[in-house]
Amino acid sequence: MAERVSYRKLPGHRRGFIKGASTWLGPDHLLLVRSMRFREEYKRYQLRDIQAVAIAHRPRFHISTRAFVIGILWAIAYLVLSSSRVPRGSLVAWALALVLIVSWFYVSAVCSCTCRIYTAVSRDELPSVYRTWVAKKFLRVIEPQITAVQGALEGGWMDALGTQDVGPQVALPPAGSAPDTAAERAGEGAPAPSSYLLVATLLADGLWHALALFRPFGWASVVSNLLALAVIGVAILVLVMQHRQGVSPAHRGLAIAALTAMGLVYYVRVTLVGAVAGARAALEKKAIAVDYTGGTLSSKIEMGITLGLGIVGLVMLVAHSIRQPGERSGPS
Amino acid sequence: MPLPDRALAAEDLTRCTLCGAENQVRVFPAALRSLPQVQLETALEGEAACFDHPAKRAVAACRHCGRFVCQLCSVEFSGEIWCPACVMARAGSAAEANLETSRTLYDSIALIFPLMSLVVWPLTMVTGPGAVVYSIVKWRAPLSLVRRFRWRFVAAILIGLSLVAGWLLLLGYVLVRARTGGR
Repeated sequence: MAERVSYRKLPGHRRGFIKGASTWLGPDHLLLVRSMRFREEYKRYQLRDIQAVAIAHRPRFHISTRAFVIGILWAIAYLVLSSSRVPRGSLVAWALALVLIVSWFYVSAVCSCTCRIYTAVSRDELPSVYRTWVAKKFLRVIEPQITAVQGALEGGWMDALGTQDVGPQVALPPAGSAPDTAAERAGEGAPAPSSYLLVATLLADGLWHALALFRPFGWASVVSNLLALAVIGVAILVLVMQHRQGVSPAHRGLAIAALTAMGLVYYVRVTLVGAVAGARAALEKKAIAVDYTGGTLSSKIEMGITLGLGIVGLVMLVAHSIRQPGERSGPS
Repeated sequence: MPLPDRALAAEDLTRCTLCGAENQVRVFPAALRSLPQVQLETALEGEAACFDHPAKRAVAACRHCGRFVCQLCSVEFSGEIWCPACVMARAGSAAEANLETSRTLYDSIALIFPLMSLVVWPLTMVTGPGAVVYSIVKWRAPLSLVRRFRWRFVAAILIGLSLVAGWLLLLGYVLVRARTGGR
């Protein structure tokens, strides 16, 4: 039976909201598992066929479900600290948020990588190995396993390799040639004009909330709602452009995160405000007016989310322009 | 795309000559092996021919069904030669090997629906009992290749039963209230 094959988990696990990945060690092969919530896809690499493992350092701005849980814990801590009598409680919470965001940026920009596995007929990325310390652990585990099957390389192997290439024999594009298709450009992480627009609307929404919090005025909520609609519209535009022309996966992720966050903020705000108002009306046995904007706490949370996502998008744009200095850094 | 420069392997950490990224590469002896070239020979008169390619000379017989196979059709499998049909049908010991490329995670489906329906809570009237029934029906369905336990099914059943109990309590409360005239 299939279940008889026992697997040992290898270091690294990509935990996404929809997609995830992990790598497992079987008796004579590596098993790459790509999971899509209700479905798993498997790819096997026989230990005897693995030609090389390459780890390339590069920024990876991935928001894992673990990071999301940390964000939720921070939100709970913020609510507790701001409502308790701890002196400067909310200041402490915001300082903590800053530390968390800076740590995430540092790890994503400096301590990240891609790991590729080469056989004679394939060159595949292992999505579960995307942090450098995980990659080192991964290599430490699989190197002896592969060596045990294939033996060690003898001296002078570089000469023996001669002109033979490692990996599948696919012709390289001519040096300096531009990618032909939008999909190829997307593979390189090139941002589309809609990506710039999304980052701009996110930052504008976040900054408007900040302005309205410090200097409240009458029509602030109208502009705030219009900006929220703009964020939703541009995020949908990014997804449509991704479907039609190809947008980098990171910016697609940002659009999905923006849509999810806006939906959650709206739904949770209306639900909580409605529930609290309902409870108060039941206790006081009289009708009460309900303010569905949620007050300053809701505005602060919305400000934090939109500013956070906007800064993430900005860093992705800056990182891309640093990686490709010769390329134009903005839309025409 | 092949590795850009095999000089990468000479050092522990080096810079790629194409993109400038820092790389760490481990090369293994398989890189020195060249792929075997399949050379199909035409079967002469009186020679055994391949079952699927009658014009080609047979080089072996399938370990399971005994059909003759040419070099193209011979599949090396656990140290034995098999024909493609037997491998595809997962006959005999081929069934022992796991060749599946995907699986549906019924345990995740059973667990996620009652949890997701909590967001729109009236749906729990359906998803609660649904999760219990679905978990029982799919209990024996194969799990993920790498998961060993059915705790998701157990959790789905417990959550489903809790939701059913909640609805029964609510129904009982409403009936009692209706009978006592809301007092």
